[in-house]
Amino acid sequence: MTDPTREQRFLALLNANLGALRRLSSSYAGTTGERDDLLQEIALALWQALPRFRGESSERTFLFRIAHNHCINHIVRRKPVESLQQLELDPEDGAHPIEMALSSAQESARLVSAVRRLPLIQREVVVLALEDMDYAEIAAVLGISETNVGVRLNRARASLRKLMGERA
Amino acid sequence: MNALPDLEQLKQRWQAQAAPGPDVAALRERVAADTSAHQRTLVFVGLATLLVVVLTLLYAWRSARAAAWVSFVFTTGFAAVVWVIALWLSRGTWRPRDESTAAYLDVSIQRCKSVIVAAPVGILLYLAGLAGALIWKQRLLGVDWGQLLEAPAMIFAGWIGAPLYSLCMVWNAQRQRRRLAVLVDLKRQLSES
Repeated sequence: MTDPTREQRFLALLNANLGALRRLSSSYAGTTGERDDLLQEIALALWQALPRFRGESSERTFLFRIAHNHCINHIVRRKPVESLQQLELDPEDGAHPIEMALSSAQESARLVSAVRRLPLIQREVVVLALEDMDYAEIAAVLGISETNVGVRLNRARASLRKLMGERA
Repeated sequence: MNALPDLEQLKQRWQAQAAPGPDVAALRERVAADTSAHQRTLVFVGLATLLVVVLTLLYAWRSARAAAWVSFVFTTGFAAVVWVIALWLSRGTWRPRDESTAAYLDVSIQRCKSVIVAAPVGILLYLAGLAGALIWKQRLLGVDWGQLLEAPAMIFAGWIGAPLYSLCMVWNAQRQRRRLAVLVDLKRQLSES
């Protein structure tokens, strides 16, 4: 039997954060199929975990903690198969300076591509920061100190500058 | 000295991304890489075929036995059959019909399908070639079956080579099946958008 309150909370939380969850999943998934699988896993995990939520953090932080853990598990489990994105991320072509005038869609694509190439330790911080999370929220999701968040985020930004300067 | 990218600007860009869509650029890169690999393989296999046929011809030329000419005819005929089948399986896989994304997608899908079909066909051809060589040796050179089956060439190409080749073909076909699923999904997304 389904608890209507739980279902409502689940749907509200999921719908409010669906865009962010899609972006988060695609930062860790190799293909669109993988991303969709990951999203489904996150949704299922949220459904299962929701009754355990006791309000120690915001619902959003709770959701992102679940999502982040699933993304990391996904990376650990993922076989090193060749995927379209992995191929895309091979830094083989020449330099494309960040100052190049590109359309906003291209700029977004460059950013996504650069984020996917970040080391995991930086990527997990930056994807949360890019979703408008503050240091405290990121620290709560990742289980690290706020100072550590700041350090990692600065390193991630430096890496992004380099990566986005290298390749479109 | 380069400053760090502005976080607010990055956030705007990040959140401006549409629902992550098909990886069209990656698809194009992959098609180009596959085309080069395809061409290299073709040249290599072509040269290998030529070498085998020429060696068999030289052997037949120098040998006084009629069986050597049978070997040449069999090898050439078999190579021709393999090439015809390979070219037939490669229909529509050479290059995209135009520069459109749909064409790139179609050629990738066709390549996957071609490899999937080529797996059982390749295994059958391998076994047919092996069987042909054994029959040739037994019938025309009069080598005893027991001796043939225990010969180092048979151990290498038959007892070890055949299962190994079959496993590789099946494994590759499985990989292509997974990739095909991704590509079909990509095509669905493109047709929806």
